Amino acid sequence: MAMSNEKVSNHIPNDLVFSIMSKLPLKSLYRFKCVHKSWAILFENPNFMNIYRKNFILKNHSYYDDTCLLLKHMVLDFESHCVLHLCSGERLNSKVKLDWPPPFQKDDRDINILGSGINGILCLYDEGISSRVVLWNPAIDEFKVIPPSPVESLPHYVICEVQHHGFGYDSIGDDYKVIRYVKFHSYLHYFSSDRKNFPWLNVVYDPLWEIYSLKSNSWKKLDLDITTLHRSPLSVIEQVYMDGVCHWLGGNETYADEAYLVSFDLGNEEFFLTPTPSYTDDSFNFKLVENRLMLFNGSIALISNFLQMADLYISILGEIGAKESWIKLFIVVPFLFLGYPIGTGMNSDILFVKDDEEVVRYDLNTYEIQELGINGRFLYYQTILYKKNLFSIAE
Amino acid sequence: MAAEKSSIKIITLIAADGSVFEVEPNIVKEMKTVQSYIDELDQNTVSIPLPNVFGNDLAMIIEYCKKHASEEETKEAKEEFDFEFVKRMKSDDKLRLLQAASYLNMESFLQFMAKAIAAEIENQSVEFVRDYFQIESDFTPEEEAELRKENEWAFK
Repeated sequence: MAMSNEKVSNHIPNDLVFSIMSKLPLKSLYRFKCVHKSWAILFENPNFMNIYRKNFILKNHSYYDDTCLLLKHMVLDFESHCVLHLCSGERLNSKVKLDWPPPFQKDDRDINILGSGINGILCLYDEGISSRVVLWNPAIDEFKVIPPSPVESLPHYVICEVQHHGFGYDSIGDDYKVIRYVKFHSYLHYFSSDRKNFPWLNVVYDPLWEIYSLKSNSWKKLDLDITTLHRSPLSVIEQVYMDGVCHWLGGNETYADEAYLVSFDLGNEEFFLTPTPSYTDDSFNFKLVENRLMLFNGSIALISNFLQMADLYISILGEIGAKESWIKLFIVVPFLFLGYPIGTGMNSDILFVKDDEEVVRYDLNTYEIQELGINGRFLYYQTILYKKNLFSIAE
Repeated sequence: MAAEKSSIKIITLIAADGSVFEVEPNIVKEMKTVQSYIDELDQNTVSIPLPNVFGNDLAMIIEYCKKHASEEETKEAKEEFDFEFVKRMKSDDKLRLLQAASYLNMESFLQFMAKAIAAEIENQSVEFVRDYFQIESDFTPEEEAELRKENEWAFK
């Protein structure tokens, strides 16, 4: 054996290093920059980056085994209706319209899906004044209405505004949880101009965070100090769930560009903040229009689009809590205007809504563009990866 | 050229240490280096010297090819085999097999070995990786400290 070791050199040629490195997660790749100078400059090597990107979009295909895509959107006739489609197949060419569970059948004007599908369960909600939250397993047609929280019992002159932020599974407590932010608005001033004579009217209702546990079937107040991102009343909070952690975009109430990713661990109920990328090294002045948060092949990803610029950036998060670990991995340069990104599809797809409100999938690997035959108002789209499961919520 | 251009029934592969392996043509299909050689021949048997691959390694590669060329084996059985195949290897074996795969121009086996090596070094320290590949650092201590600081998040 000693002889053979002499004959085969231990020196690994560059192309083989590429093959190995392209299979590593971003964190290891950045750490190994310190191994050797030639490894430190791998990210500047366009050949390597092409291999890495290709691997990134192709490596996790088993992640999508038996997975479908749920696409929610809104249509308008006399009033708005939310419509849910289950799309499946390699090219999402098979689609079935699903009926909402009974609590939402009479009123389907504003239904949202919270976070991601977990073990076949979806969390549906609307954010009207009478906010409804429902857990639903479409595969076995089972649903559970989540009871209201004690904080919703209020005097008639106060109403609460609920913003749902996350739905997920806590593997430590073997429990399903929903986290939300509740704000209160007092309508006192409409009918009382004389506060001095009614001191009880001066009670201040502070906003609060609360969490629901399926096991205890109740809400509990959380002691969290995070401001929620100011948003237009039309859009949905961007949130995803992965491995016991709910992620959403939060930020400063007044300056939308001071945004961060909030990662809330459902197990220990702690949160971490990661500022979103600032793209300052790009030396351009294009104004960021929007960051969309999504899961992309098992990674936290942001799709950023800019005013007056057709290119989209897709940045992948290497490490929760580290702003510099957002790696701008893809620049999508549409050779024809694709429209507005609404989410990731399956495998290497990004979904867009075109100006004519038609949904298209754009394959980052093959650059194929294909219409899905679904049409609706672009602001209300949601895409959710869904794996059928016979898990019963009642168990 | 017609598809069944070659009439070769048995291929003899001769490893660097002189050990000899007789295999059927379907086993070497993935070895493009070997394939291109036999495509040009019109005879029943052929001997191919492989001076860059050792007998032990060639035996393992052939075992892998046999399993994967088999039409009777299920996908699950092949995955199980892959798992066990990597498990019994030392780091040196993986590196040698990766280089053999490169020499034999076996694309999917090369990707398979690269993945196995990546899994072994993932989340390891810089020192571990240098030792693994026997790489000498070409950074000054200051340069390395700077780079570590720049990429601090990757060391958490």
